[in-house]
Amino acid sequence: MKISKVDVILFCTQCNEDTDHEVIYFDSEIESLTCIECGKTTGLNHSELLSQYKHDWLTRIISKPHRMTEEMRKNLYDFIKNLPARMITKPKRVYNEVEDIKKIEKD
Amino acid sequence: MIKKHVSVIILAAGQGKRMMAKSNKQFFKIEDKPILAYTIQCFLEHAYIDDIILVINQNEEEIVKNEVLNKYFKKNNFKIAYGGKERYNSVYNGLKVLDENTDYVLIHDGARPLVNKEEISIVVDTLRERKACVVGVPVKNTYKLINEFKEIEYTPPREKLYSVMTPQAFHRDLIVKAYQIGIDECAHVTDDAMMVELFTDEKVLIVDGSYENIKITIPDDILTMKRIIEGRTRYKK
Repeated sequence: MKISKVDVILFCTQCNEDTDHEVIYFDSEIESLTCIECGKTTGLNHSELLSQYKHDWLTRIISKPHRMTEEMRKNLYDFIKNLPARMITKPKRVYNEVEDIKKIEKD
Repeated sequence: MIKKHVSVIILAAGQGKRMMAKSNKQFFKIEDKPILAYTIQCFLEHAYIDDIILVINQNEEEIVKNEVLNKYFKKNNFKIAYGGKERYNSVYNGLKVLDENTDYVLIHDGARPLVNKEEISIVVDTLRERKACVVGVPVKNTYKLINEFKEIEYTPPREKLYSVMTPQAFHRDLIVKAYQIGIDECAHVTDDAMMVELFTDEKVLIVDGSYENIKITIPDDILTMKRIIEGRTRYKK
């Protein structure tokens, strides 16, 4: 799951002019569009982002054994070679994801 | 029926006033695909269309080529023209690079990515009988004409009002003539039909389009577009 941000110029109905808007994507799904000038946000309520993340996390846990099996089938050597590093860095990657979401909610 | 050569000019130069290459809404992605790519695809897939001219911002040529044309339309050829200060300058630049065989010209906003096949068909078919036509839909709200003090002067009858969109379609000779005559005195002109109305004697016909043919302007339009695409995918014939 990836959270990304892009900028786009759109007409803000609050400012009544073209303004820069910050767009947040959750993977390739648009979550929200926010006018940088006035803060008007269109789209999903940010406070739901964390609950969506929890739901997504559960799906990932359930599908983990299957995904790991597929990786082993595709390339066993690479899988074994990368496994230790992945196990060590996993907690940090999860922490970073949660921090990103919390930061967005705070904004 | 004699086959006519149909060219489309897609206006994708964006706004000149606040331009940062990455911020042009034409490159904004929905379902991982830029809005401009949706627009181009509609015309590319239509049997009536012979060639496409893209009018782009000169500063965005690399982005257009790398993120749209080479990525989604590698096997196709497009003519490129550069946008001008105002919309009518951009159209004029597009008209200047028309194929010599072009009989009919369609002019379309790049920020209208949801034009459908039927709308393209109807404007081209109409040009077999008429020299100018545009797609539009009956308005749903009431509109008022105001004076300089914002006092209402007149309420036009709603049944006589249409909201006009693109594509706007013309016989080549007519639209080229209109622009040649009017290019130096058209600061108040807001669409191509108006050029024909003001600078030729030809009447422009309105043909019924689709309410889904929205122009991406405000943030809500992006969410609307997303929902329309999802609906079209789900109910694909």
